[in-house]
Amino acid sequence: MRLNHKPILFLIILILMLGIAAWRAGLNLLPVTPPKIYGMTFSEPKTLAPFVLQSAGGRAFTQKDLHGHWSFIYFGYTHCPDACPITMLQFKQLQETLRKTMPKQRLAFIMVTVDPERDTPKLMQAYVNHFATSFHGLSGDSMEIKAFAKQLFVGYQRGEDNTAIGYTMYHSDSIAVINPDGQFAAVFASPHKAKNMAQDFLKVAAYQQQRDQSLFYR
Amino acid sequence: MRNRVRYSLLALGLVGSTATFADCKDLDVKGAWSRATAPVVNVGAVYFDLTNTTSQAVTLIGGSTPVSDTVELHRREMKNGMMGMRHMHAVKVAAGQKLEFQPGKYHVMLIGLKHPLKAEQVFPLSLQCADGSQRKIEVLVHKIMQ
Repeated sequence: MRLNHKPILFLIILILMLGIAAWRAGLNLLPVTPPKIYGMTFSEPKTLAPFVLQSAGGRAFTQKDLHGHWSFIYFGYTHCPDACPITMLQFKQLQETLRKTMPKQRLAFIMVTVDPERDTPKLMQAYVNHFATSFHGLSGDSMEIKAFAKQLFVGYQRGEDNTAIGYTMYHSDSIAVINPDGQFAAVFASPHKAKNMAQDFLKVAAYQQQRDQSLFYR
Repeated sequence: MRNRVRYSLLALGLVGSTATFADCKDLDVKGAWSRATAPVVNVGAVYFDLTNTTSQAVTLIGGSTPVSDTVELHRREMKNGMMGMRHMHAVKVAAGQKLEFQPGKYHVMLIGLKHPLKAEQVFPLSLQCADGSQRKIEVLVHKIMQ
């Protein structure tokens, strides 16, 4: 029995032509691999469970506030004189660098307290204002903050109280990167260097764009 | 006669510099700086490089300054993957040892700042050793440190 190869050949040619057309249109049929950064890029961004934090002036800050722009989130506290100001200064430099390299990209820089007992929303905003008034300082209910931090792989606990500041806090020193769909896209590991973070962010954003354009994920 | 006086003075100088008992005031402290602070915070950190150029170990226990109520020695440390700081009640510095009071390592913690630290400001700080001796230094406040 002889097989008729014509329909199969026709199908192969059709698929190839569609593939080339999609590729020419900037669409990718294949999966893309997450870039290597100082930290980690998730192959699939993680959707966040709803949360409610508090910003200054009694306004709630929820998952909706993370939509429409990239966000960088750091957890710290105002009684921290060493690591937290260092990270805020790196945030400021990162903001300045990205404003030059990606002037159209909207970015949010957020610091959430791990010490809501002492850090009110007003205090947090005043703290970040010292570095840049465009930064967001957040506090809120301690259970809400704990759950939100856990989603972003951040842990913290109260440290010793044999110091004149009352007590210290132990906390993860990573920075969470949130994409414009409000999803957890990447983690920047410490020590944080603005120059490295700027390069890594370009990779994370490029990966997101490739991913958005890949038909593989539809 | 004149030479004899000269040699005596030189001898005295040598004796003074190799004293048997280490004194905090002989510690070599370089480049002391602090960061300008937000008006709402009441803590600050002081950094410098400290070398014990004496022939004996010294033990730092704290300090004092007119700009804050309390001065403590703190060390950055990791615990369960989390970063924190520990109040060090005594920090021993061996003879010849260099200790970095720098971001991520040791720092002098100023607690209860009377006023925010302002860029370009210079303030005095006394480091206290266990034997009661002190090393007085001047700290320059930086606007931004990378």
